[in-house]
Amino acid sequence: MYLTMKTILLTCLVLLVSISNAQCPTAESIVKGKTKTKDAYGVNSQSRAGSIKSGETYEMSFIAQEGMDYRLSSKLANAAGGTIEFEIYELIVEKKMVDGKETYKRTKHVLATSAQAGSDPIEFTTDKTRKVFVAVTLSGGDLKKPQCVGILVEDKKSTKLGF
Amino acid sequence: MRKSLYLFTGLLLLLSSCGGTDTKNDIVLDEKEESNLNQDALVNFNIPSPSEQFALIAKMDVVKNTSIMHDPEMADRYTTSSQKALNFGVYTADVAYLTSFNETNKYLTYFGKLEKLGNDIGVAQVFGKQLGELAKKWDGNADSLFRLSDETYNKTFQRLIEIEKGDELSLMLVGGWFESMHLMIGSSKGYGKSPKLEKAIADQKLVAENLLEFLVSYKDNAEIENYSKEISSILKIYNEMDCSSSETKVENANGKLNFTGGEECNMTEKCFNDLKKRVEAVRTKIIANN
Repeated sequence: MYLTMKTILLTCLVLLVSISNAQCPTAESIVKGKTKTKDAYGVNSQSRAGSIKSGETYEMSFIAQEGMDYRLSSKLANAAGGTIEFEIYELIVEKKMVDGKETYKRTKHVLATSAQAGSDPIEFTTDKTRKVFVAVTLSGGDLKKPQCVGILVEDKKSTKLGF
Repeated sequence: MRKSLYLFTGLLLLLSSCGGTDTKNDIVLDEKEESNLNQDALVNFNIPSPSEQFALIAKMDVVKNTSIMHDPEMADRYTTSSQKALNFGVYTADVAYLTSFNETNKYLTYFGKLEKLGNDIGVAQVFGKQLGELAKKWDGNADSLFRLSDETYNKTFQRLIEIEKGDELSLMLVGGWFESMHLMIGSSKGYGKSPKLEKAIADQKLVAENLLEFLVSYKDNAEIENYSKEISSILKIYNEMDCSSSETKVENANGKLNFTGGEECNMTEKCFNDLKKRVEAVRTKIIANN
């Protein structure tokens, strides 16, 4: 009986720890915190949060649609957990012939970086619907402790719809 | 939440099928040229919600066609968790379509079915008293209902991640995407008569690619594996489009970046008709209750 109770309690403890480690708050709550500033931008459903350790990179891909303006920001849930840098890029697939064989080359083309934007969010618009990648790299902080990072994508209809 | 590894090899093989004369044996990835890519990166692939996909549809050269939406009464007939998750996605797209055309009279009926299926797949928490009351309060206010639909979708997505129901989430996305495609194609005035809509349908190729990547982590579920194959077959059809590519340029206009250039694809009549046929076949399977 005692052993069964102990096993159940231990299992619950392990489950609680694994659940708390596995999940991060939403990207919106990480990036915006409790501030509720209202403007024309709304939260895009493709915003994501995930956990990374120092030296690691968290990457996500989202679809940026023609006719929409986007605002992208990234923050750590724990500001003292290290420093993050992020870049927005797209992958270009080129086809070429090498020794009679069709060869595909993927090239990463960086469109913008947080270094250019400073602490400000990156605002962009696109002339056509495109697949965009965001890579967030964490440096400094505790090397072993994972940190939650949020990538907030906001959108609004462009003034010029283009339609 | 599981993430997908880069699986572009699969997509490249799909690309290679374009033209019909290539063989898979001739295709190789130029690894040396790919040194600037983080090969071990885990990427979280995302797709826009149906509301985001329909945000601009009413401004396009389309016909509003609510008669092709799924029958709300069918929601009570689904018995399995998979059917419920798939059709939750279907009704999410229907609700987004309704509000994008300011058609609010059927909103509460569809929202009620979303709530029913949502409760069944374990996201009852999303539909607290508040959401139901808001839906009633805003009945007739298309903009508010549009935001409410998007919020419902986002909260459901987040909740399914929290309770680790990745299979249900995947099926919800599949159902939502096929219904969105069905509604877009069904809103066309006919090939060549709705060029703006055709462009939007062509853009769905990118959404299909990201959806396929999202599903990779859940392929141990036979049903998800099956729908992954269906999406792959649709991507093959997309390869019938006429595509051209130019260098992507970034311009800074008063702090806002403007991305121009890149790949541009135009719909062809064959591709349009093949897509229509394939999407309808898969959608019929999704909404069936057997």
